[in-house]
Amino acid sequence: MFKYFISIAAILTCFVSSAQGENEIKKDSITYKQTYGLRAGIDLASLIRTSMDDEYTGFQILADYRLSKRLYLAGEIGNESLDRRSERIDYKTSGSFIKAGVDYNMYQNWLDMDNMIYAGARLGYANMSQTLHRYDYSTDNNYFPVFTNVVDREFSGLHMIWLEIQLGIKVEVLNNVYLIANFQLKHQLTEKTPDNFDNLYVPGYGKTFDTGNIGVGYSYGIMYRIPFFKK
Amino acid sequence: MNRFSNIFLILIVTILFNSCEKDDLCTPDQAVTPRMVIEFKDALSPSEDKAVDRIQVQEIGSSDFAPLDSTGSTSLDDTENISIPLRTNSSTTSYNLILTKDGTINSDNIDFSYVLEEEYVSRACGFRIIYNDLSRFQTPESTGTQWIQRAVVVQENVTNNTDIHVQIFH
Repeated sequence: MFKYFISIAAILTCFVSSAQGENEIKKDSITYKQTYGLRAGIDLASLIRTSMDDEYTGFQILADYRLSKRLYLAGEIGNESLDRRSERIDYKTSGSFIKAGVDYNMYQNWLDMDNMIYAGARLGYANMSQTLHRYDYSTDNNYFPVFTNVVDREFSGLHMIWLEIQLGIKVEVLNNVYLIANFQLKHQLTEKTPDNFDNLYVPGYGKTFDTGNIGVGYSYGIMYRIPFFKK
Repeated sequence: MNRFSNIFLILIVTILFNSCEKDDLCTPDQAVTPRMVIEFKDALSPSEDKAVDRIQVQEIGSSDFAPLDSTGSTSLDDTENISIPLRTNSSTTSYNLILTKDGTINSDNIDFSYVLEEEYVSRACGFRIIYNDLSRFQTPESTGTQWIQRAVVVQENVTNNTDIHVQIFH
């Protein structure tokens, strides 16, 4: 907290000294107008993972629109594909997703700063198909040779709906250019799973877990604000 | 940042780490392909268990002996039940049940037939097989004595290792 006091004290000192310079006592009537507009950008996390991870491709667009001083409409749209080889199962999931909701800015900006430490809520929907490439039967002995099934079983028309909360930052680094980063915690509401199989990865939601319907994720990227008006 | 968001951040981080911790592990007892459990009964008084002196089980055409329990023993002495694997790629497994009693080896053949059913278990365990409509056929011997008087299927669906699926009277 002390650094705030010090900063505020420093700012006040400036005002005091300038007031002295002008040699007149004037009530500070300057109000800093907030810029309203549409912010759009891309998720760098999925682009970087696409270049690093042979099994993954993904692309995601981020957007928000300012409604009031603290509230923003926000959403993401994208697609992901994961071709995963694991010990017992090889599978591929690909599809697209949309997330829509609001961001609430918890950060008190000074002057005309326009940064956010925000909590966001989203409703997410993903539509995907999953292909089972290979699987082994799980056995507790190796008396019979392990029987590996190589198939090409495609399950299409799968979906998932989930609720997501985000905690993140959006920082203006240049005029109208923002860097953003967030953590995501997801809770699945409903899903359509393949017959006798499961949704192992869901675009936008990420990896699913055997033990529950909680998912996690993160994102970081760059956004540009198209200013509409100030008020 | 105010106190509220600090608390919120700590909460989120805690939840994140908690959920990450639980990684997917396949615990064998939970979800592997079940074995067929055979119980040995007394042919003279069918309600009573009767242990076999020494039992070994071998698939016809194989040179190895099959594991008889979860530790993988291929030979058991003085036991009342065994659990043996069934083939996951064929609807029949043909076994020789070899009894050693008083130094005499006696091998009887039983074919086990079933309908294979594939079942998805979990990400970590993958798939397993369960066996339905289990039936048995005991090959009659023209010479020699059969130590198995009769074999009865008591549970047609082999879905776990705790049920008893077959009773052998001797």
